[in-house]
Amino acid sequence: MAKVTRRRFVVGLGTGAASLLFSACGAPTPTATPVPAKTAEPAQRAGVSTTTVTPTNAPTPAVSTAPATTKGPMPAEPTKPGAVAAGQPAAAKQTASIRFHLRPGGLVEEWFRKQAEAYSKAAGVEVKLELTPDAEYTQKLTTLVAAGDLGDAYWSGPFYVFYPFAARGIALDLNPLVKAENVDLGVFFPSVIKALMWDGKLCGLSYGSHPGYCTQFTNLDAYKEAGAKPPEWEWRYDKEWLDALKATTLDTNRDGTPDRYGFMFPYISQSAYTFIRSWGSDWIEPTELKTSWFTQEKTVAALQFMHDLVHKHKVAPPANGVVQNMFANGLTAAWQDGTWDVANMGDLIKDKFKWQAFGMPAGPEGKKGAFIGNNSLSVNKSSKYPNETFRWILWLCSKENGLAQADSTTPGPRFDVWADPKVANNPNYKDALRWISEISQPASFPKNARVTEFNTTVTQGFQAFMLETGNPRAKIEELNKAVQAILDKPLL
Amino acid sequence: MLASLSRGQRKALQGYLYTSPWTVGLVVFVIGPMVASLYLSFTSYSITSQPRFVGIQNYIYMLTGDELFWGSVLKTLYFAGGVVLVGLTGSLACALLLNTGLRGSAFYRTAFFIPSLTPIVALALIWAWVLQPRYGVVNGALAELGMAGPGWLTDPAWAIPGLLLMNLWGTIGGSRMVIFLAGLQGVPQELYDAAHVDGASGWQRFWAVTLPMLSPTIFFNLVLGIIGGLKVFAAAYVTTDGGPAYATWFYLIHLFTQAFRFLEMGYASALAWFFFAVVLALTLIQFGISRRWVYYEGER
Repeated sequence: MAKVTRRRFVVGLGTGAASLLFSACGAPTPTATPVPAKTAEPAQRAGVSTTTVTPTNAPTPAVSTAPATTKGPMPAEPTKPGAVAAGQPAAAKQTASIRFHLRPGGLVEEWFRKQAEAYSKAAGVEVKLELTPDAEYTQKLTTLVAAGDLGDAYWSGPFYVFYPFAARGIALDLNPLVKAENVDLGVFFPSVIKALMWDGKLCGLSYGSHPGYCTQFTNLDAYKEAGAKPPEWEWRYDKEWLDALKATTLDTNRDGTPDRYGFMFPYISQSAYTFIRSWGSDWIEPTELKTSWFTQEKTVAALQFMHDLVHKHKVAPPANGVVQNMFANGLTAAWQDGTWDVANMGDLIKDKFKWQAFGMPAGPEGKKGAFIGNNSLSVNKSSKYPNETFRWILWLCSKENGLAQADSTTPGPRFDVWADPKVANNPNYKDALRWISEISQPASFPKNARVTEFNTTVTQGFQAFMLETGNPRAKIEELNKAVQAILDKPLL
Repeated sequence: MLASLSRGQRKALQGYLYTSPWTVGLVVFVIGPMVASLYLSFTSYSITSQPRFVGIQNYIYMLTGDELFWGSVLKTLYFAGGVVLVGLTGSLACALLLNTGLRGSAFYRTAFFIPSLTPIVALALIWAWVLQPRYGVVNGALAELGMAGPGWLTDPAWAIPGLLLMNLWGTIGGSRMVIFLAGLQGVPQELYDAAHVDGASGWQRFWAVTLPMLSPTIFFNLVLGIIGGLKVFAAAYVTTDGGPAYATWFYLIHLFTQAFRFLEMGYASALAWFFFAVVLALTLIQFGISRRWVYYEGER
């Protein structure tokens, strides 16, 4: 036998490692597996009703898109134990095990755990929650895709993996399953469904959606003290709204730094988007999604208005003067935010002052606009259990679960959720309903699905623009160039 | 089969087997990924698609087309320069103070060392509050002195100094100081005694005895300090996320963002290899220059 030299040993090890490496690299990128038209299981078993349901209380007369009656089933059965049992086999035998990716955290995580247990009992399908911290979520899921080990279902949002996975065909087109299970998508707000589409494919469903940064949390005491009326739906940014901001801005010692600003907006892309759309423009040309619109006249005007709020009118804090919880601490009389904070605002403010959430005003031409943000649930195209996974998603998107969401974050995106007294009687959701049902539309995102890159670039560029006092227009030009460079790249 | 091996061969095989867990780990989990990333640096690869060979395009884009690249290099150099200059000086000063033999020095050593044990994320979160412009301790103290504190971490001009402050608090009294202390305690007392007899002042003793004798320690800390400074990531990632307006967009933030947010793995690999080459070159240069100023007692 040949002598085992150090060199031979290292060469042997290297060859072994290289083989391992190549076999790992050679792992195929997940490919689509054909989705069975329908499994043998009856729909009821997974909690999908097949009875025709008429939604109670049409949300508002203004909602013209709301179906008077919805044909077909509600997407999922309620979570109440009694209701879950209805139409279910008494003791469902577990036939499948679903891996579900989501972010950990507080009430929502707890809610998912309960849902997983309830669904497991009711449908006989085990649901394993796989939690990944928010900061690592995108990289974890992407790495799992590369390893061919992505679970059956995954949570996502517009700034996470939703679009890249939809564009790359990782997300299963749910349309055939919707048809096969006779699910009526008409119970959801149309804009929400539109935001879940990619190239005509339905790439997920949403259990909680918001109409963007269209909410202004308002300190009613500050408004009263300043003699200003609370915000009204018809207000325009450059008229009544600006007057109110000026009235509620307080600089008691007149040192140029207000003790309380009239308004505060987050220095991120999404808050600017509300202004841009309300000015009747967009950040990307909305049809082809391949051309930056940051230098469009109306986009510039909207951004300039935000700039003026800070530097000319001095009614909003500059980017380098923002501190945490300014609104709750009474340092600003109003705050641009979203419906997701309605549930928690009371705890944050306690009895410091009276507050209410209103919708943002209209642009100079009377237009309002923002984007739909979905907590989307998608099915992995490579899942062995597409039907079971789809039913799990439907389960999470039920009316009852949509209402439960309102306890900790934004309510479910269904007409019947927003028509329920729990949401409908809450004055903080009054304007938001009109936004989610009539106004906010899916965001215009890059056709090449580079949403995260786009969002990061816009946020940083927006901050640079807002901080610039010399030649802010130059910063817009820079931003436009940077965005166009992203749009010119190939599909992610 | 083993029976046919000679005693020496068997012993060698045994040795290799004992070391194989580490060797295999090194090859599979360190060298393997490094080689893979070198290959990926010549590809366009977004994880969700197969790598496509693009030659040196990534490197060309890095140096000529990426608008954030040079900015991130300059910001990183600025930060690393601050960390090395202030950090090394501060650590040495602390070590000198703790080496004077004052009462309770063991307590002070511990007290100075404790901040370095704080996990970087916890440290960053605490300092985000300490540096908060309106309610933070630092600006509160400045206000007491009649000065308006800046928007640490929120003002582009002050964001890097804010991160430097945060970093230095955690590192001045850390392992660098301990290494300096060990170095100081290794300086032979007879050299000080001789200098004292010759009438050297405290400053002259420091300059002519302490510093030369400490030069290998300073060199060691300098090399590690520069590498550590260039690797700035976690504090910026947690507190500023590269902002405001790219003010803290350090090299590794850029690399991480390209890789794990933008999913440009091929380009990120090129950035990683460029970084590796620069760090290696800087270290080699330091070793080259060190011959002129580092004094190793045993060599002369």
